[in-house]
Amino acid sequence: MSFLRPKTHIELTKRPLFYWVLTQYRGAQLFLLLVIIASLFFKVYPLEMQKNIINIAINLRMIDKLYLYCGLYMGAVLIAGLMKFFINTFQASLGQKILIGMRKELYEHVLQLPLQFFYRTQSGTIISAMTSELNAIGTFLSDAMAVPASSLLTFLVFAGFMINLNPLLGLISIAIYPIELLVIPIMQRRYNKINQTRVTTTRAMANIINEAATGIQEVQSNASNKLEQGKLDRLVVRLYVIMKRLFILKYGIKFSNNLFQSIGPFLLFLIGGYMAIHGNFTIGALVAFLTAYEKVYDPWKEIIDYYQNYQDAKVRYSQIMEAFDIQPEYLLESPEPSTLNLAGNIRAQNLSYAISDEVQLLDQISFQLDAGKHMALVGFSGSGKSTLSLLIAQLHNYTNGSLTIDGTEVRKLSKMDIARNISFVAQHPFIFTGTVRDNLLYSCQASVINGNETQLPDQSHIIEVVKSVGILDDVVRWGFTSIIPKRKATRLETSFLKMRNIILGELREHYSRVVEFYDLNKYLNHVSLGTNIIFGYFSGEPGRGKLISNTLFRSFIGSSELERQLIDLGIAISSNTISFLQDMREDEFFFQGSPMEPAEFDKYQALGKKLEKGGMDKLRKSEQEAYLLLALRYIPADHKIYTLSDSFKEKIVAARRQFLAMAAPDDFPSIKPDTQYENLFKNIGELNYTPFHLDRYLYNRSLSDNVLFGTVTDLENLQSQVGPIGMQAFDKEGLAEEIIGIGLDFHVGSKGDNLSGGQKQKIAIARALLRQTPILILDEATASLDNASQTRIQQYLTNNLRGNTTVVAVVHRLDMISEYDHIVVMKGGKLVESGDYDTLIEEKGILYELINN
Amino acid sequence: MSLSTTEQAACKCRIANDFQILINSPVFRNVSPDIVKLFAYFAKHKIYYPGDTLIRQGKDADRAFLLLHGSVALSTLHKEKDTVIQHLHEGSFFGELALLADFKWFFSAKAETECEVLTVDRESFTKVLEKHPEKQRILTDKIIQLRVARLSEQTEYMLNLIPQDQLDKFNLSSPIIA
Ligand SMILES: Nc1ncnc2c1ncn2[C@@H]1O[C@H](COP(=O)(O)OP(=O)(O)OP(=O)(O)O)[C@@H](O)[C@H]1O
Ligand SMILES: [Mg+2]
Repeated sequence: MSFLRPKTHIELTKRPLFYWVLTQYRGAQLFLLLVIIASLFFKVYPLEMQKNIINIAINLRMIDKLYLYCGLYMGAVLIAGLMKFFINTFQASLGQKILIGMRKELYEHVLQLPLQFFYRTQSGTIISAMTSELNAIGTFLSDAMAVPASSLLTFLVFAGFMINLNPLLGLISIAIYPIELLVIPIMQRRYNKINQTRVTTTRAMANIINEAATGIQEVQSNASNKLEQGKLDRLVVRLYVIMKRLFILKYGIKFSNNLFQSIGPFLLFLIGGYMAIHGNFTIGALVAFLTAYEKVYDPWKEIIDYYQNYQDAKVRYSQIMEAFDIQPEYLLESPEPSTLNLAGNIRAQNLSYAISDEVQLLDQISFQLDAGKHMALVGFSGSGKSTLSLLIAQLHNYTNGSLTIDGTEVRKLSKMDIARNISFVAQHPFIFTGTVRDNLLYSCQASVINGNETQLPDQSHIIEVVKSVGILDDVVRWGFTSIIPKRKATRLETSFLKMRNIILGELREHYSRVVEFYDLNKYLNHVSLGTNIIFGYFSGEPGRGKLISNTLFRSFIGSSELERQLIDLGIAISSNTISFLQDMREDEFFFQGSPMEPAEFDKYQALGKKLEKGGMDKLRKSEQEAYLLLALRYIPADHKIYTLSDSFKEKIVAARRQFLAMAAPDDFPSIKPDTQYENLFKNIGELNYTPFHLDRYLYNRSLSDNVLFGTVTDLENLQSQVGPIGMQAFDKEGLAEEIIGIGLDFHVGSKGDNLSGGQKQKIAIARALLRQTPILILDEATASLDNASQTRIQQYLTNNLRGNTTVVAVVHRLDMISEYDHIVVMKGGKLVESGDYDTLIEEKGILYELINN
Repeated sequence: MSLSTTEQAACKCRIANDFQILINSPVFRNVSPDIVKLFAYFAKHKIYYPGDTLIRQGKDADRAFLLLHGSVALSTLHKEKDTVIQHLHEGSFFGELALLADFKWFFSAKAETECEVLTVDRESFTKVLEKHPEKQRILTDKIIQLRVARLSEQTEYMLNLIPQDQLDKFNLSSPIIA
């Protein structure tokens, strides 16, 4: 930012638009100008050739001259075109480069603005200004220098060429232009005014959309769609009116421009024709003249366009700069490179904070807190506790009195110094889009980038903190439920397979109560019949009905008697479902016990009738498939509508073995394949098939599926009773860390929307603890946690931080404040009572009353 | 629902089995077979091993249990200790209030032996009654009567645990209370 650099720079928000153009990439811009001038020659040269072709080659009937001039003509045109191409791309990239600098500096500036600015300014405005409005300026920036130079020069050169050909005609045709210079700016001024309202209206739209998207829960739970829609609609209409006016003016300017232009040729033909008839002017010269006149028009049009773009960009630019025209309150870095490490003695003397003359939020607060001591802030809602903690964290600037840390005024510290020494957990912490790990390490990452720290905390430190804030169980669960990307899974495969072995081995007894293992020789009641046959999956599966369209699987079924039996099964399931759910068909809920979906009911009913009348033979192939599909989807444990006989289950298991022998002979070498299928599996190439084999990691299944190697049948008991036993065993083998590592990569969703309120707070606390700063400020950091978690975190603060970290905590659970060294009671922005717990209770003052009512 | 009762018995299907179990249980005795059939369709079997928790105090109550075999101990937290208030055996129906209203379990249930239970959840119960609103009254009555019966059993059990000399203090005619 400007104020960090030498003072010769103009303050960012006060810079004129052309400042950016004139101070950057000067060399490149000069080079561009030279190329433009050089290109002018190749633009005029063809005109000269034109004249020569007509006057010399054609008139004197000299074929060789014709060839020569035509060749030169073409060459010049080609070179001019290429140069134009180069100029265009070069200047466009130059403009974007200037824009990069502009955007960077502006963002740097915005991020430093005081909180009050963000309270006042809606985020839609900031987003709109930083993105689309700046983009529009970017297009102008590419034209900023080169276009006026090249157009003006081209204009002059062609004008000169015309005057040179015939001074009288030349002057007449150029005389029109100055008149335009009077008319157009008048219209443009009007345009600019309206354009300003366009920018404000677009920002208002951005704000409304942004607010609705952020508050979408509120919108949908109140069904306030119409209300929100109404807000936008008004603006949409306003924007329409504005745009209509803008277009009228814009094309008005174009129209007047065109009108003037058409006067030119009129005069030329009249006067030029007259002169040619009288022999004062050659035809060749007249043709060249007309071409030149047309050529003059192009740069002129460019100049007019440029003028319009410039005005447009100027309007946007000044509005952007106006929006951000405040100065940061603090230095980001102190001018001399020092690493200030504070001990954490905080002292407030008559500390006051006022927003304006009338609004006084904090009034004459004094307290003293020695390093390593813990202070609790208590008081009624709105009494100023958060405000005070924000002051200490330098997030607000106090207006009166003094607030010092180790004797230095907080106001005098740079942001870097503050961040190095203070961690702050907000009342409503913000979680960034990304993984849990990203969020935990957010502060540390910043600290490494700022050069305060050389490396990020290691995994074991992270795990320790994750444990102490009580979010470990969640992390483990996230780890287990995630489908690990293949690249990463391959690396950790052996660990995961070890876990599987533990579960299938020593813990088998425990787990067999809550999991149905993938047992090669058993029919699986908790997976579909299709999966029972293939005992694995094709990549791309499992989508309902996908299996049936797998060619290999389809022909496997087709080449045995199984097909007919499965179709019969499908028919039986269908007829059971239809008779049982006939009266309940419109309620989806009743379909949970059948593989049929509510939408398919009518189809199967019609099929059933057809079958009744004509028998199997009347069914088309695709109709038989429909029954087959039903059978393949059937899951005994879920679909009570039908019961499979044991002998049928045995048949399926036998078919499974055949399938495995063919599809995965290397995995199951002991199974002897039947010859009947052999041709089926020949020359099939890549199968994309993975069997449930003990030594195979299943890449598109969750970690939990992989480790358990089966289907969970009792989730509740798994989580509450069996799971912990497993974790203990994994921990003993040093495997738990891998799972936690995976869990830390859980994606928290946009703004942490995938997390619960409590999880967000825990992560925010862990984020602050990981930094290990001498001062920690907690603003009701545990408010949305359950009692047990609150107690646990309080315990951690008391046991681990007392004596080495100064803690200022806004506490709302009064039964916890006895753990603090010093208590400050606030009311209406004033400190009404302070002291240690025992004294305050003995005095029977306000705190005593707060606790006892 | 054209499956007649005889057909069901013939097909060894699970709905039919559970139908038999339910229709013989006290709640559904004398309830029309059409409705019981629907409950049989929604009912789920579950096995618990000794020490397993069927109901955890404080969790959302969402289903009722019919104990098919085995025995279960009901307990409640008293002065931070889990205290047994009743032992249930084969054929007992418990957690029945969960079918009627949304609340948090005010007791726990643990398996004492290996147990098999049939559960029906509130959502299914409500859905079935939506189809047969005329039966709502009877079923609600039955459930409350069952609950009352179990409650008096519980009270009996608790009072039996109190030694006679202590119990005298509770006697209404005793001078201490009067
Ligand atoms: N930018 C602001 N402009 C005007 N008033 C403000 C501003 N910020 C805070 N206030 C007011 O200052 C008072 C103190 O707010 P503060 O957030 O510090 O209260 P608190 O003690 O933390 O309350 P709670 O327990 O509800 O979190 C409130 O009355 C609030 O309305
Ligand atoms: Mg607050």
